[in-house]
Parts: sequence; C-alpha cells; structure tokens
Amino acid sequence: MQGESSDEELMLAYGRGEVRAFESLYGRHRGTLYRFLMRQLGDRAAADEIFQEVWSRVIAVRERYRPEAKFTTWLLQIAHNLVVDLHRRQRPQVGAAEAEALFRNLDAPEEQRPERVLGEFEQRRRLQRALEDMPAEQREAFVMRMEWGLGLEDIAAVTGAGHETVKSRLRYALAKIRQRFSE
Amino acid sequence: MSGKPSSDHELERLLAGEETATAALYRRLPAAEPDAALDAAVLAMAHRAVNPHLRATLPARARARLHPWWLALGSAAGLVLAAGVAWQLRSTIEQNSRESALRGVVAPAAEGRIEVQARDEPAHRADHAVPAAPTPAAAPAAAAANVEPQASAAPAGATAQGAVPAERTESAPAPARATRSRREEQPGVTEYTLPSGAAGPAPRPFPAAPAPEAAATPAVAPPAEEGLSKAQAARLPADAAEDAVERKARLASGARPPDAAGEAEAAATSDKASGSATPAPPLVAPNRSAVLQQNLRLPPATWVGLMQQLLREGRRAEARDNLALFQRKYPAYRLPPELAALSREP
Repeated sequence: MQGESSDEELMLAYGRGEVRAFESLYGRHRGTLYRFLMRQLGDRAAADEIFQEVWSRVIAVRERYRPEAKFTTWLLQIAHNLVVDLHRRQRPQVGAAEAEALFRNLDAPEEQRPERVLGEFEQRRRLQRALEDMPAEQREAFVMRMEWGLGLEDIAAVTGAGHETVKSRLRYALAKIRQRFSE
Repeated sequence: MSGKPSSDHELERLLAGEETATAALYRRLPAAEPDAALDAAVLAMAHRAVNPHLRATLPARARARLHPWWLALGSAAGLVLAAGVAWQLRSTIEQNSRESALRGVVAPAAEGRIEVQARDEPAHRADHAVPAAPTPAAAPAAAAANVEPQASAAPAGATAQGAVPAERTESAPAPARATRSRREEQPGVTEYTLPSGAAGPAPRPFPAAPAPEAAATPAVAPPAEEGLSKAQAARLPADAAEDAVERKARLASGARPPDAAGEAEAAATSDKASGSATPAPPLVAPNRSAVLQQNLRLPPATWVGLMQQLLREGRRAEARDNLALFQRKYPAYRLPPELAALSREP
C-alpha cells in the first residue's frame, strides 16, 4: 500500500503520526542521500552526521510539511544547505581561469582518450579522484544528476542557482572528469 | 577550445538520459550505504517524535545510566561542604587563638595577679559562707549538690556570671586542664600553675588550636565526680574565680564566645533539672561579680575614681579586683600613683 504511495503522500502520512510511512520513505531515499553526502563530503563521519541531521529536520517539520515541491527536491535542499555550510568552511572555490585551462587540454576525440585503455579499477579510481577534486557546486550538480536523475530545473531548484549556472556546472564537472582520464 | 563542444555534446547526452561512458562508470563506483546503527538512530528518532511514551521512557533510561554520575557528584559536593565547614572552623579557631595570644601578650602581669587574687578569694568568701566549692574531703559527694545553690543564688540580671562558678564546679577535669595548660604557655602565667601532681599534660606548641574548643566544651562535659582528684577539687574555687575574671575580660573586649550564653543556659537548666526549687541565700561572690560587670561599662576616668574611693575606704581587695579588670580593658591607661602602686603589689 505504502509502496505505491508517492513520497509526498508518505511524508504527509508521517506528519499525521504514521511511523510506517516514514520507514518507507526512509527506505527509498536513504542510499541515494547517503551516497550524495559521501560524494560531497568524502568523509564517512561527516556524511553520517549530515545524514542524521537531514532526517532529523525532516522529522522536526513533519506536521508543517506541504507538498508544494517534490519530496526529493525538498530533501535535497536540506542536504544541500547543510553541505554548503560545511564546504564554506572547508574548501576554496576554483576560479574560472582554471576551468578554461581545463577545457583547453581536452583536445583528443572521445574514442582516442586514455580511459579507453585503462583498467576497470583504475577508471573507477580516476573518476573518484575527479569527483573529489572538482568544486563542490560542480560535483553536487553532477551527483544529483547521476544519483537522483534530476534535470536542470530540479537541480536549480535545490541549489538556488540559475538554469544556465547549473548547466555550466555540469559541463565543467564532465570536463574535469575527462581531464582526469587524459592524464 | 575544442573541449567545450565535446563537453556540451556529452552533457546533452547525459541530460537526455542516454547511457554515456561517464554515467556507466559512475554506477560502478562503490555504493556507500548508511550502516545499521545510523539507520536505527534515524528510525528511533522518527518513532520518538511520534510516540510520546517512547520519549518519556528515554529519560528514565538516561536517569538509570546517570545514577553513578549522580553518586559521584553527590560525593564531590559532600567533600566540598566538609572542606568548607572545616575551613570555617579553622578560621574561628585561629581567631580565638589569636585573641587568647593577644591577651597573654598585652596584660601578662595583670592576668597573673588576677589568678593569685582569685586563689585567695575562697578565704574571703568563706567568711561570707559562700559554698563556692566543696572541701577536698567532701568533693566527691557534694560536687553535684553544690552546683545548685551557687547557680540559683546568682542574681537574675547576671545570669552569665552567675552560671560561671556553677558551670565550673560542674565541669569535668579535662576541659579545665585544657584551659589551664593554655594559660601555662602564656608568659607571666606559668608561675601560678596547678599544685604538683595536678598539672595537666605537657603544653602544646603555641598557639594551641583546639584550646578554645576545649575551653568552650564544659556545657556538655560529664559530671564532676567522674574524675576529680582531691587536688583538682581544691583548685576548683580558684579556677572558678579565674574563669569568671577571664569571662568578664572577654565580655569587655567584645570577644564573647558564642556558646557562653548556651553554657549559662545549660547550667541554669541543669540547676532547674536538679530540683533546686528553693532559692539560696544571696551570696557575696556573685554580687561582687555583678558590681564588676557594671563597672566594666563605666568610662575609664569614672572607674579610676571609683577604685580610688575603694582604696580610701580600705576595700583593697575590691579595688584590686577592679584594677585587674580595668587593666585588661584599658592596658595603656596611665594610672594614678596609688593605683599604680596597687597594681605592682604582689
């Protein structure tokens, strides 16, 4: 029954006191949210802390929740805000000049790129390192797209950035990944 | 430059939901999951938010876990309290010791004189039939009985000083000895010590902290018949007079021990309890004490005039009593020649 309900319906049910609804909701999003946080933070302890904080906020506002937006958008907004707070204290932002230099180095056609000939393990390792090295906004947009399948509009709604900004961030994220594979 | 179009192309494919190499590779990355403890924590949080009874049980469990902590806190608080009380007691004891030391330094000669005079006084009082203390032979049997007439004979207005001899008679040898040993340490007092064999233990280094306490304990001391030797019993009148003067001096200097009134009350209570319903005949010794007490309040010049008048009337002993007390209260006062001569008399 609850398996067929939408996220928003489950959240409303939990707001009325149905704990089972929350359990279903949590089961749906726990993995993706946790991976999103892990990708963003790169540290299990920090991810655990933010993960718990995100859900505690969901629980705290359960009775005031109104399905004006998708539940995932709302959930990711909470996570995004918490992660941004953390990143503001931790990482410097990458400038535009560095990004331009990145694109200049990506000359080779896709079929000739080195990742084609790298082993599976090495490919995963390079992608991992590329994600770790890219700016948080780019990584966030990329992971939202990969983990949640969010489109530009949804990512823009979560992050509060403009449509074109999100598109640019995604483009830069892909360029960083390709640069890592060309090294 | 050529990278940008390439990235745009890949981005378009990505946004269109096509399977790109990057997307495929991303899906092969390790899929991190929250561990069971984290899941349990979040679900418990959700349950507690909805079920108030779960919320109520948590503090109970927390209280149970905190129990040892409360014990430790209670122990620490007890220690702090005990230390505070000990510190306060120590301060009081030190203050009393300083006061007694000051008395010993300021008027050693006067104190010595007073003691001699006090020892002489029983002879005087015997003339007035004052049963201030039992004779050595009658001491064991009459120790308790003699308390009654003395205390009940005290004037109503002078309860404290009236209680002094009674309380002293009643008091046990231990506190008396403690008071005495404290005096022995002070210069000028050692020559008026107890008779041989009745001396107390060796004096402790000055200042002896517990001495004031020991002097203040007679209110709860055991009855006199417990340990009074004959020599000690013989000393009792002298001790009583000695303590009376000391008490007066303490009153004069405003350093009245807090339990003095309690002692008087205790003595009066014990008197009442012992059944002395019939008032004893008026006694001279308390009356003289009452007069001394009144004289303490006189201005120094008036008091000196009074002593001169006593000398002129031939009441030398009374004049000496007054003079001793006067010199304690006003040690720096310049005495007229006749009183100065009296003070130098042995």
